[in-house]
This record gives sequence, C-alpha cells and structure tokens, in this order.
Amino acid sequence: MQLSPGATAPRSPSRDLKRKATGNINPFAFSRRGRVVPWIGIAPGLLLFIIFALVPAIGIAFLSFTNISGIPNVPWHWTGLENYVRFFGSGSSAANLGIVFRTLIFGFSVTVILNIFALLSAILLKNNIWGATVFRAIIFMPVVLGVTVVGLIWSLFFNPTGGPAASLWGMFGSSSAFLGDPRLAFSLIIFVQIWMSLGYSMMIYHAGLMVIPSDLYEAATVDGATAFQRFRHVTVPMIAPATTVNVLISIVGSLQTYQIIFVLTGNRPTTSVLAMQIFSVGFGGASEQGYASAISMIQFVLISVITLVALRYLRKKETQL
Amino acid sequence: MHKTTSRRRVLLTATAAVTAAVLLTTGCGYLGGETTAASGSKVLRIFVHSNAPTDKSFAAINKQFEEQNPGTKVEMTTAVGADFLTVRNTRLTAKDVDITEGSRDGGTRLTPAWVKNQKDNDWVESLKAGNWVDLTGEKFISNFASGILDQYEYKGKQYAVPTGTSPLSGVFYSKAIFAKYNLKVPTTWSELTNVMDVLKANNISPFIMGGKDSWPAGLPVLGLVQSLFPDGTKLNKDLWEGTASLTDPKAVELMTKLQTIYANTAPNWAGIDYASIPSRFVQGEAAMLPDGAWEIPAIQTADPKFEFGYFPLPGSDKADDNKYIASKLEFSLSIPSSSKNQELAKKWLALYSEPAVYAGFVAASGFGPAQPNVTLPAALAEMQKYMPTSGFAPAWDQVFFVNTNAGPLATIPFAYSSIAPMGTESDMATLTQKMEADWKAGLK
Repeated sequence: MQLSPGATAPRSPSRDLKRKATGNINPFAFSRRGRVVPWIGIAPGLLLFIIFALVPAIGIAFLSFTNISGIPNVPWHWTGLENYVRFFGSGSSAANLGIVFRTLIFGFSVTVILNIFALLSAILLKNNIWGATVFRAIIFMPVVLGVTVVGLIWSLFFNPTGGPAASLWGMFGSSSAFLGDPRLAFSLIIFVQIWMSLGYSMMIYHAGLMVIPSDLYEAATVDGATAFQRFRHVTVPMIAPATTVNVLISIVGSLQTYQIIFVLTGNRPTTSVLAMQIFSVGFGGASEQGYASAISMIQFVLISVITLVALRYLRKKETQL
Repeated sequence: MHKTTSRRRVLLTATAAVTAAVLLTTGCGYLGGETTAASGSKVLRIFVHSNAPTDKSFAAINKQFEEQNPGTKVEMTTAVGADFLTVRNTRLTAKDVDITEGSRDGGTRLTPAWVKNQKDNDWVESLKAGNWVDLTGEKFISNFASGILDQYEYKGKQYAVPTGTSPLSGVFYSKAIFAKYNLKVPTTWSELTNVMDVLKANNISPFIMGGKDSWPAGLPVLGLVQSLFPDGTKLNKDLWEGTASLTDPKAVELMTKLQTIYANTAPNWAGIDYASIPSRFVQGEAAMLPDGAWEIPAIQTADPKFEFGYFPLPGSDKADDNKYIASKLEFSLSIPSSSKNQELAKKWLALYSEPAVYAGFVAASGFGPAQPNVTLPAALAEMQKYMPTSGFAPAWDQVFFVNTNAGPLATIPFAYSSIAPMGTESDMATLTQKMEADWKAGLK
C-alpha cells in the first residue's frame, strides 16, 4: 500500500487500524496535508456556492419573515409569520392552494410524460437505426434554443388567426383561442415544456442504454424472452440510475418553471404556478419581496419533500431491480 | 531584493492595467462628484420603461440637450415594463441614475383611514423614504397645469414632472366602417347594442381586443364603471366600509354588459396578442377597439391614412352618464436624491418642460397634455371634448385602493378575466357572488 504523494508523515499502525475500522479507503483522509489539499481543490467552487447560493438562500428564509419591499431606503420590519398567514389564511388562500395544486399537476404531468417519451425516443433512436444521430440532434435542438425562442415559436404556432394549429383545427371545421383558452392553455404549456425538455432527458437515457452490455439481450433472447420482456427485465433495471437522475431533474425543473408560462400566457389565473407567483409578487410591480420570499420558502419545502420522497423510492427500486 | 521589487512592479502594472480596463469598459467614473465619461464629458443618465413613441421623443430631446450643452452626453437606457421596476430599484440602490420614473401611475395617493391593512403605493413609500429631489419652486414646474401637479404633490411639495395623462376608457372606431353602414357614434348603451347588431348582421366583428395579454380585456371595465358609477371614489369607500356590495344590481349590470362586449368581440380574441391589435384594427378585422390613447401612434404607424375616432364607452342608457372619458396619470419624471448630477438633471427637465418641446413629446407619445394650451394633433384634440372642465377624470383603477387580502376575484374589482372566453364563468349573478365572497374575505 502506498501513501498519497502529498503525505509526508510516517504512517502509524494506529492510523491504518483507524482506516480499516472506519472502512475509509481514501488515502488523503489521515494525513495533515491530505486532509487540507482536497479542501483547497474544492475551495473555489465551495466559495462560489456559499456566496451565490447558500447565503442568498438563508437570506430568503430570513426575509420571508419581513415586509421588505425592495424599494431603496424604505424601512422594513420583522413581521413573523404574517406572510405565511397571508398565503394560507387570507382571502386568497383558496386561490393560493389552487396554485399549489396546479404546480403539482404541472410537475407530475411533465415528469411522467416527459420520461415516458424520453425513454421511448432513446430506445427508438439507439445507434442501430439509420439517421439516429440526426434525429437525436433534432430532438435535442429545443434545449439549445432557449425559453424565449421556444415561446415565440409556439406562440406563432398557436396564433388563433392564421397560425398552423388554427389551420389544422380549421380543417376539422373547428377553431380555438389556444393559449387564450382557459381550458386549453395549461395543457398546451405542459406540452411545450415537454417538447422543450425532451432532448435533454433523452440524452440521459441514451447514455444509460449505451452501457447495457449486449450479452444481456442476447442471453434473454436465447432464453426466449419477447421484446417486451427484454425491455421489462433487462432495459428497465439497467437504466434505473438514469431513470433516477431524469426523474429528479424533471421534478425539480418542472416545479421551478415559470419562464415558459410567462412567455406563452403571462400570469393568468388559469395558468399560474408557484414560481410564476414568486416572479409576479417579487418583480412584477407589487414590490412585496418579503411575501415573495415566503412563497419561495413554500416552494422550497414542497420541492424538497417531493424530491426526497422520490429519491428514497427510486434508490430503493434501483436496489430491488 | 531585486526580485521582490520586480515582482511588485509587475503587480502594480497589472493592477493599473486592470483598473484602466475597468474604467474604459465602464466608460465613466465618478470624478469630482459628477459622472464623467472617459472622454471627460459629463454624462446624464436617464432610465425609463421602453415604449417606442416615448423613446423616440426622449431621444430627440436628448439630442437637443446635447447640442445646447456641449461636453454633455445623455445616456438613456430603457427596460421593458415587466422588468422596469426591478432594474430601477437596483439602479437607485447603485446610485446609477439621474432621471427616472418616480410615480408609475396614479400619482401621490395616500392611503385613507377607511382602507385597512394596506401599505402605500411605491411612489408614496419612496417619497416617505426621501428618495427624490424636491423640485418645488423650480421655474419649469409652473409650465404644467396645477390640476395635474396637485395629483403628484406630497406634503405641499413637488417631486415629479408629469409626462401627461392617458384617456383609456373609450373606444376607437373605424370611420370608414361606420360610414359604410350608416352608423353614428353611440352615446347610450342601447345605441351601442344597435351598432353591434348592425355590424354582426354584416359579418363585421364589432370589437377586437388583445385578450392573450389579459389586461387589455380590462379596459372596457373602466368605461363601464365611469358610466354606471359616476363617483368611483364613493364606490371604493363604500366597498371598503361594507356599505356597497359587488352583488348590487349595478355591479351585476356592469358584469353583464362586459359579457355582452366580450360576446361581440372578434373570434378567438382571447388568444390574440396585444401587439398585433393596431394592424388588425386598421385592416378592418373589427370596427371598434376599446383601448387607451397611447395606442394612437401604433395605429397611425400601422396605416398613416387610416381614419379613426374615439368615443366614451356608453355603459349607461342615459347619455349624460357617458359623456366623459376617464384617464390615468402617466408616469412622472423625477430626480433621485442619490444623483450626482442634480443640477444637470434639472436643466434637462427644464428643456423637456418647455411648451414647444413638451408639445412635441405629447404629439409623439399619444398622451393627453399635462400643460395648458398645448396644440394637439387631430386625434388627441378630438378626445378633449370628452374631458371634464378640470381636464382629467380619473379612471376606476386610479381611484381604487387594491385589497391585497381579498381573494383573486376582488383584489381589483371587477373580475373581467373570469368571464368567458377569458375565464370560464358565464353566469354573471354567480360570478358576482363569488366576487363578493372574495371581497368580504379581504375585509376580515
């Protein structure tokens, strides 16, 4: 066994025993320099994380208990739970709970449908079909385009007078306001969000599929497994880690989404979600950053709980499969 | 020793180079308390929300200012409406702006005692915080109408230079279509319904609005309130004190008439974006457009030869109730207390306030004038006959105090976005009951 290059202190038997006892095989862990060097390595990233993520996050938690407006020089005060009471207990509470519910619907729909289509696309576009690379590039393209361009594309597509969707509807003797239709707009936003994210999720599944040894499929075929059985008993278990990553990214991403909603319909009662409310209250002219911080904290708790439950479930499934 | 000196020199050179680069790239710095460009010229920084007609007009004033003040550069920047307030507050904090929008609309509206548990609007809050320079006694202020200045006054002092007012409760109409079907400008609700019927019988959509952006669908509300509730302030007070209800027959009547207007608007208008409305209107997609006077430049740009008029939305069957068009106070220009160029900023405001310059601004922006005796372009001049003698009838959204504790249907009555096709409600009696429940919830 060799010490790490940076370790100069003589190795003591007690340290070896300690390492064995703790099961720690990191050669850096028990020398002074070895303990310091990794920290120096991660210091820049850690510093950036602390300054730009951790401190603001703690700041938001604190501000959620104040009435800060965001207007310079205007004094603000500690208001305790007032912002939270307003969200859950004022005249808007029913509407606010409706927004939470709509956020959950959005997150659930996007996560489930996106992952089904991403997996199907990845399987269909495995390297053994002609033009797979080109099709993958096409599906990935919306990821590169960005929210504003995607929003513009679909706004034009769903233009109720003269847009392609209107022409299509017209062929069946029907018409619609599409993004202006309160019964349809939210579904269309879910569709656009899935379209926009499909390429990214597909590539994660694609990477997962690429590492499945072909022997497993051959063995399953020899054993008489049907295509579905090969998918169910070989593909699904083998891409479980990719599924976990994809599902978690989808949950977090969709529950935080407001940009595509803002571009497509603006903040309308029938399409608003929590993130949209935060933007609207904090930056949309209301100058209520304390209240916006409280909604942010509610969103944070919601995402954390759902993500942790999903992570625990998916990890358990990974080991079971 | 020599090595240390050399290293220090390298360090000093590098620091100097970085500092110079930063100064050059930012283009200016604080020297002697004033903002100066790298070239040594003074820089006056103006920040307003982006709006093509006013941007163009401000650019012309800036050019004139630079010509009158050699060695001065005006740096005007803009942000879209949704981002404006955030950027403005950031720049105020950074002490990075010399003239910007103080009051965005509504002027100095101090919250009355009968409004419970609500804070003052942004403008009043920032006045209390001392964020703006006192302009009382400046000669250029006296160019503006006292009635308008009163709307911005705070504790007897002036902190704002008005840009104008915007008539917004009326309806644009196509003179060609009206002439073709022998229609007269309606002065009562029944005349308006007759106009709608004639147009529909001839396969012409009576109205068009940009419903996709939601807020344009709220403009007819302002006209209907103006007709049905002549004293908006009283309605507001009565609602707050619980002596008026959103289920009162007049409120139901308002919502029903609004529903009628929506039913007579172009097909699928709820999905049409506001930006495309002027071109659709001039192309004859509809005969009438409920909108504000700020849309005049866009209509004229879409078709300079298009002939249009503007009339008050007649919400009542008594013509006398419908004679005025309500307006809103447009944004004001103010100098932040943190500005290092306050004297230069005052000079710019003085130029802007000169009657000839201001008249050009009004003509380009489509705003109603805030100065007396301004020669107006024809389209704006036509609207003046619908103005009260005071020159300004505040619209419902200018007098109403928002109830942030109320439910979404009553935060700002009336809940236009819930009516089909904007929303899903088609029974106005039921909707007004829901509105009332939301309002009452906010009074607890």
